[in-house]
Amino acid sequence: MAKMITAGSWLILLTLFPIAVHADEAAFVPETVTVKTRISPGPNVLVNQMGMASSTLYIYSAQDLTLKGSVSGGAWGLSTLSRDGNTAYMASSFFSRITYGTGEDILQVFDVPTNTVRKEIRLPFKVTQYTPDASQLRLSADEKFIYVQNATPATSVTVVNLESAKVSQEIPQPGCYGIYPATEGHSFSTICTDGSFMTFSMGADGTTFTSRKSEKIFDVDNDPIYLASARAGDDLLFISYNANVYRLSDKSGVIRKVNVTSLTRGVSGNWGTSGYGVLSYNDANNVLFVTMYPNHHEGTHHRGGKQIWAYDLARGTLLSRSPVNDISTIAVSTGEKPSLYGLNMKKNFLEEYAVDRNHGFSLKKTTQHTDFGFATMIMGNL
Amino acid sequence: MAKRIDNLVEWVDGVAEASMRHLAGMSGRRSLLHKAGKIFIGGAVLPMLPYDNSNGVSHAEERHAEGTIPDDCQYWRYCSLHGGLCSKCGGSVTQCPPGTTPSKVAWVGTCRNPKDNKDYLVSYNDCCGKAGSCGDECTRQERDRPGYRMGLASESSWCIANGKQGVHCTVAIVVGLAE
Repeated sequence: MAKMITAGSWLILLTLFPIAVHADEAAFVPETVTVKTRISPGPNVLVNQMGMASSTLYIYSAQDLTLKGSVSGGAWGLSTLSRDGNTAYMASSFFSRITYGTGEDILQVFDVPTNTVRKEIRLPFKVTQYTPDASQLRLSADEKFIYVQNATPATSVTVVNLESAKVSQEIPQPGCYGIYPATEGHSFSTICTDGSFMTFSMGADGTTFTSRKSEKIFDVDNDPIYLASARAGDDLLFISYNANVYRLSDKSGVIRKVNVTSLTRGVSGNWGTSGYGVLSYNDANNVLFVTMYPNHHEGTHHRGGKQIWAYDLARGTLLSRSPVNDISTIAVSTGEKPSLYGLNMKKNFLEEYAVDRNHGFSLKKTTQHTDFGFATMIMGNL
Repeated sequence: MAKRIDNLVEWVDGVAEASMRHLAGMSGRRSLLHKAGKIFIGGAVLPMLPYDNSNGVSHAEERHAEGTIPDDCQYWRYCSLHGGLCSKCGGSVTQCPPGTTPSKVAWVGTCRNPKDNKDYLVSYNDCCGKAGSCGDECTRQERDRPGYRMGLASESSWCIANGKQGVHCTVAIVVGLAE
């Protein structure tokens, strides 16, 4: 009986076999390679990872830190982002033999949604080769001009007209470094070696300039400030190695000191500022976030922070001190319910923190993504 | 106009550092750059070491029994170092490795030698023209300042005056006694 069933089954299978093969052939569709034309929608966090041969801007989802795409350029890449987050700029060096030979400095203009190069502009071969900071490549308020920090090591700023894609002029800034554009018009300020600031104001076509020097703002030897800065309303915020916040105004065409606030007054443990992009300001809540390091002394100013402090500048109140691991650069999003992003400089993580407004704007890590090398800059239309 | 700017920048390359040195010279013990003028023509300075100001008994050199300068990162002359020592790349503490070129300019540290309790000026020249790193990086960065005090800025590549060649490693040259 069993043999009869088996034989019957085989007969049925043999009858159906050609049909089954035919059905498989009909269902199979060969794959072809395609290109995803746009990154996934939504707000982005960008990390500038500078390299000595090539540099990359990694683009992450601001919500869950999924890697969405990237753009890349040459050596020692400096970068910035348009206000709407759709255009990224990178100034970097390209060498004929990578580590020697002839070279050229190029400004690349990237379309962020498609990760493509929209334009290339050749720059004078003088662009600074320095650990990247936002102050080295900046857009004017109307995004018509871009300012590029040079150092040979003599310092100057190349002004590029982005509409004509041509260099407008080179402004010498002897003994000064860093670019801090005004919130309107075509002027920018720079930090000088004697603790003053110089403000350069350009003519409408970007080919001329005038300059004004401020009074001494800070003590370069005893209370040096970082290149990192933030805007608080119309004012500029800088912070020193010793965690003194310098609130400055550039409204009058020259830098003026508004006030100086010590974050550590009354706090034990000899805390100081530490990292690279060490401060970020949330305007909606008037809260400044700073990466801090205990027992600070000469030489600890670029280590990864062990705490992030939240400070109410209006009330002069230290709101919270959140423990973190080696965070060297931070960026807080705008709005009343912000998130904070940080770079762990030892593990090369990009980390996201929830901000608890009910507990002094303290931080709790929600997710992290492996970054791809040492990085010091976070950007985004956050 | 561009050429005039170039000429100006070249002139500034020479003069701005002198200006910074002058400013540093007015600030007490941090008069380090006052005596370090020649550092900024680094290549020419390399043979000029160490500076002797101790009646014939200089401790700056501090060579050990084997005739080598210690390359432990905590050794006093590396107080402002930020990079990999060339002694671990086929060169020595004071010699760039074969096939590289010393940077024409350098950043400067002021380091105290515990043997004589004196402060010495140390020129940290990058060695340029090759890729690759070797050994652990030594980052101490004492008295490091951002680019607005460029002569003390260890975050800059110092191969910028060598056609921006690749940075391979760093030497630490004792070039003088700080005032």
